[in-house]
Amino acid sequence: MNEIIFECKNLSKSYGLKPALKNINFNLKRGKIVGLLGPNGSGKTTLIKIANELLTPTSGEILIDGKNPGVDTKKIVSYLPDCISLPDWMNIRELITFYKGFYENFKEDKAYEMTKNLGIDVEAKLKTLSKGNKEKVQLILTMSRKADLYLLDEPMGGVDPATRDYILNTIIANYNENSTVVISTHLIADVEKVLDEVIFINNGEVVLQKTVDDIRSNNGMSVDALFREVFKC
Amino acid sequence: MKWNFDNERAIYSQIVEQIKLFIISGYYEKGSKLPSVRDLAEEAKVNPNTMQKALAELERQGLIYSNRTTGNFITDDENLIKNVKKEFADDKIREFISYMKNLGYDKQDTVKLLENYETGGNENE
Amino acid sequence: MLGKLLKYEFKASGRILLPIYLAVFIMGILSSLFMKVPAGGLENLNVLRFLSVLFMVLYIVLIMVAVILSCFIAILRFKKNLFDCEGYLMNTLPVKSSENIVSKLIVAVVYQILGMVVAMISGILSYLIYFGTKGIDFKQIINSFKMVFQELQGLTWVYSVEVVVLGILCFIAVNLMIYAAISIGHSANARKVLKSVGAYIGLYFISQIINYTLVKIFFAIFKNMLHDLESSNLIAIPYLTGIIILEALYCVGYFVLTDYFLKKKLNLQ
Repeated sequence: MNEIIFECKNLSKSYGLKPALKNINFNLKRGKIVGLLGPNGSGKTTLIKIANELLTPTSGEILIDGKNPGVDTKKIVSYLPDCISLPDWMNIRELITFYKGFYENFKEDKAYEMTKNLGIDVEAKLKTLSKGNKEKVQLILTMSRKADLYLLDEPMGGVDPATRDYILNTIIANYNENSTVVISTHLIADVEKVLDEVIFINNGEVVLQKTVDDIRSNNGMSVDALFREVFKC
Repeated sequence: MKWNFDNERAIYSQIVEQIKLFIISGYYEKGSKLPSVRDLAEEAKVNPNTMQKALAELERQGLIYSNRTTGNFITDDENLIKNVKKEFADDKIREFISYMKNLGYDKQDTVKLLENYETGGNENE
Repeated sequence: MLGKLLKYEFKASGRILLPIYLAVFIMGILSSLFMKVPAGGLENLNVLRFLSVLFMVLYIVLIMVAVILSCFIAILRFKKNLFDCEGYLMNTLPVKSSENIVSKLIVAVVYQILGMVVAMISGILSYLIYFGTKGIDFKQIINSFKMVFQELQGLTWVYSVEVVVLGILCFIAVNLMIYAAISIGHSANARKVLKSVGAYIGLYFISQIINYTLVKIFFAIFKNMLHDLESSNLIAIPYLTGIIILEALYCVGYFVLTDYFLKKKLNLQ
């Protein structure tokens, strides 16, 4: 088990001629909750997709627990995509069984507990749920895995503030020193207190990687305020 | 008791301050067991590592002590708690005096004002 | 993991296809029954005529729908499940890309063949219900089989097996060629569907050129043996075997291509 769970080495990606990531280098240790922060189109999603082998880098590489993305890393990475990726003809119980079948680290009890807490009917077909509830189901399934690395792409985009709190609590309660949670978001004020460190990404480049406490004590302002300053339009 | 954070200072130092307040106000009784780091983090909605860092700082200052197997406990050293209380009070007074100075009152005027101060109808303390 | 993928795939396609197959079966029986019911009065006759024609038309339409849908769903499953939003789930499961392909392929071929078998059985059943067994001359059928057996000099089994194998291989190859085209088209940054169609046309032309060349070569070699029946019988089996090998090679080629593009060129934006 590597102490560094996630590493980008000279990572670049372009779509045709349009660069999305430009020579990105950083690494993340285990046991951290990290904010991947940047405006829309800054390259956050591209980065997370490469880590999940949904995109191939143009050059450079990503290492997860020392390995390139592949079957082995997918076993230890729990990914929340930025769209609903679940087959909508299944009901929630079937989806839970599906996850349990494919992921050894999936905790069924936890999934049922969370559906109960969030008021999701497990017998309902996914397609009958509202968009917000679909997102909740996806989040429940993602967080019910005991993974080494969680890659959450905009986990709080479409949900109400109460659910946002529940999500943050789940992330805190889920915390252990072996796993790292990466939260990509632009809703910084909501997550700031939960984060150990933040990575600012803009136009495909890492502008800053710092701990939240460092930003507050050195810059005398919240991460949210710093973000607004750095990404001023 | 509620956890409140401002946006300027490091979160861990704010946690240290809050727990100190909890202790001197008696919300956390002396000698009692603290909730687990995870529970505290969840309650305050902060990062567990940050909470851990704050507890370590409190331990360094002697306000809490940890037992490897049973968790963290509040100190039962009353003098220590009294000192912290005094520190908090001194801080507030310093702040107050300097504020009054800005208003044009010297120390004597301020003391006089304080002595003559009567709790109004809508004041609580 | 392949087993789990198969189970999921069978369910995903089956929930649409199985009810249709069942409907084909029932409609076949119904339409032949209605044709058979003797007409009472004149009015009844008209209603019955109408119903029997309606059921017959429905039956034929259903068969066509079943066959078309079994192919359409195979394509749709592959595209939707691996390259649209669901691809975010399926491509991040801890399974090899080859397992994803194989599971989809097996399920597609099984349902396509099942569809044909259902149509055939229901056709025979309808025939039997309507005409009964009277009109069938079993003796003649057996005789014609015997003739074939004699003609082929005991090689019937080899032929039968080869024809069945070739049939299945053709199904596999057709599906895999579409898979390959979709995977290639979706590695592009834009106009993915259009490029998939383009890739399909490209693959089709390449395969036609290869086929044409090989057939030319084959007949050039065995030119002299094609004139009399006896010797053409002799080359029939090697010819069939050759086609099977060729078809198998196509399957391998398309599979490798699909797997490569799914694993190394996946481009889910």
